Amino acid sequence: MSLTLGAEVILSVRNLVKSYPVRGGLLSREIGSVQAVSNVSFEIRKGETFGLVGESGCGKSTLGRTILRLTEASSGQIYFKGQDITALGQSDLRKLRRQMQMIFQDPYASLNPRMTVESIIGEPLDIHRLCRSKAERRERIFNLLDRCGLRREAISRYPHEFSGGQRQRICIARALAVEPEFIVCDEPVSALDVSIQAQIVNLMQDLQKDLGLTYLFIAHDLKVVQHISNRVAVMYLGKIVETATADELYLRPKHPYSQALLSAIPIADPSRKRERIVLKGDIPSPLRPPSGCYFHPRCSRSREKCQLEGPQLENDAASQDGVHAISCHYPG
Amino acid sequence: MVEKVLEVKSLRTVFSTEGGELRAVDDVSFSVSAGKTLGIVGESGCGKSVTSLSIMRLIPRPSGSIESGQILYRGQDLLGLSSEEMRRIRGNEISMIFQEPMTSLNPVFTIGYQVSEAIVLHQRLTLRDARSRAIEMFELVGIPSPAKRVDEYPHQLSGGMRQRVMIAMALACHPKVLIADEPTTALDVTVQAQILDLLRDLQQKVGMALILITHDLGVVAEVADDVVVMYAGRVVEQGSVKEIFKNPKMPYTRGLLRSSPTLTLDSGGRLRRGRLETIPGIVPSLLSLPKGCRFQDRCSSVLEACRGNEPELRLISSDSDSRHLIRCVRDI
Repeated sequence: MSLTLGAEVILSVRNLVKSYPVRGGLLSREIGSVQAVSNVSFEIRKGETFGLVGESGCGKSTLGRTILRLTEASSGQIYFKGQDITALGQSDLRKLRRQMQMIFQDPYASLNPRMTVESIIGEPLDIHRLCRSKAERRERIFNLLDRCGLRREAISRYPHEFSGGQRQRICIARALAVEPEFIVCDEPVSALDVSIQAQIVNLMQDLQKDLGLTYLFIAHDLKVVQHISNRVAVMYLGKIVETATADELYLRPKHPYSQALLSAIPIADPSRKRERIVLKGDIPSPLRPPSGCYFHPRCSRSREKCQLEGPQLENDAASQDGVHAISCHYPG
Repeated sequence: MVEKVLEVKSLRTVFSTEGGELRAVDDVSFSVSAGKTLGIVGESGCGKSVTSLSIMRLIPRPSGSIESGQILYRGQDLLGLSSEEMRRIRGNEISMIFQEPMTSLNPVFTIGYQVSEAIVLHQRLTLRDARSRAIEMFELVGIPSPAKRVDEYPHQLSGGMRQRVMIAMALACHPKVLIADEPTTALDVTVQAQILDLLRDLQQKVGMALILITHDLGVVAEVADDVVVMYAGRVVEQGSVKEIFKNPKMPYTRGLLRSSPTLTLDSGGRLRRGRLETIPGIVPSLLSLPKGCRFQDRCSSVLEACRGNEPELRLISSDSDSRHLIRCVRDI
């Protein structure tokens, strides 16, 4: 996907940390902290889809929410179009939200059941005062419905009258209402049936092409992430362990965790027999992360160094396009 | 000839609702042999779970009932048994694993107690013997330090561990048939790989028949020998996994297979990443089914004949160990 490599950087995350206090004891004093996002850095370029994969509890959703400042970062910087947004005040933040939107996993929970589609999609238009007249507001809502593949008569209906796929279309229309440039999509298709997933994935790709959107696409389903993303980052216990173009990651994963994750995807073709790497044990508790490399207790390549010293995310000198980075002492 | 442990013949399960009578499972037949795995696939609302609940005779009354058909377990019709007799079969000869390991375990009892309870009930062992059997089972399903874990409560375990407890409970009485309803859907891919491997190992060790209910065609391709595709309460295609994935004939099966990203490479060695094929629309309501083929409104190759009488399930090819059946008028 070389075309995006030349494009301007729209979002740059530097050394981002999000930690939560752990309270305990008689007086509920702070007795420690959990790092949900641990020193994460990456860049997203305009017009690309950056995929973020990892298993439950790896911090991918927290990272997405922190970028939009739905949760506050503990330290580190988030630059959106060159501006550090971690320090923005409320009114500047509101202006920023016109450019950054979010689509959530559960289209059942993220729509207010007492609001009509018109007021759901119209609310962001009102908040940002984007329409001068009632007629203009209605026209814009109609256009958004058309764009997202919903019928115009949907405007006066309530969320419960729609199927899961249609509700996710409403969520997308709401996110698009303010004409954002950047959308964080947190598991947007995970709750949907396979045939409906494909409809939503196609819609998101069409919208990206037509409107020049940039996506941060968060999901645990590697198949969908690989399909939609230009570049992909793999997270484990709050850290990015590998990042590369989708093709490179699929064809030449170097981190043992990415390799295991990829080999575990069930493929709907009985004739393709693959060597499956089955990981031992569970993800360790982030309360007591392992020493050194967080992955070493489950890693087949683990040596002494891995227990003592945590690896840094470093560019792979052998990578053909220069964007493959791995956090492993013994990549291969 | 391998023994057919379980044979379902023309099963029809209906629910009475305010909108009228609803046939959730409509004339469904299949069988599964010892040591073999049958996959039942389809999207939400197609009748997969109602089929499995019917086999266990767990259909909620009085709203639901099994209207007709036979469920033959080693030649004996389960539908003719008294509740007392059925209780001796359920959990003992035929076991079930449910999708949500979180809600199917009782939070106020230790996992050891919950597994022992089933054993005491069916095998007439003392509580102490049952406890050591439970520890054996935990060992078998790969729960680390089982003698210690046996006294833990469900909330102390991860999702993968809870699902192992469910499997241990289901297998504690050495059932001849295990029904697994979406056993890995709530789990991460690497944990899913662990659980699927475990099920396969255990099946080989104890030679039970496995009915695997899932919406994930990838899982079916990797685990099952035979597959039944369901749509709106009907079986629409049936045959060996090899045959169905190589030669899917029913447009719905083809659509399902094509709407999920395949992760295959194009001629240039890159990931294939065009638009996904979709199945337009949604599953029809069982209360307002179209006349004729139930898939007609979503089918891309619909004919006039599809709107006449509903097509019968017909044989299109067979070999020594499997028969390929489809419910479609077209000769593809």
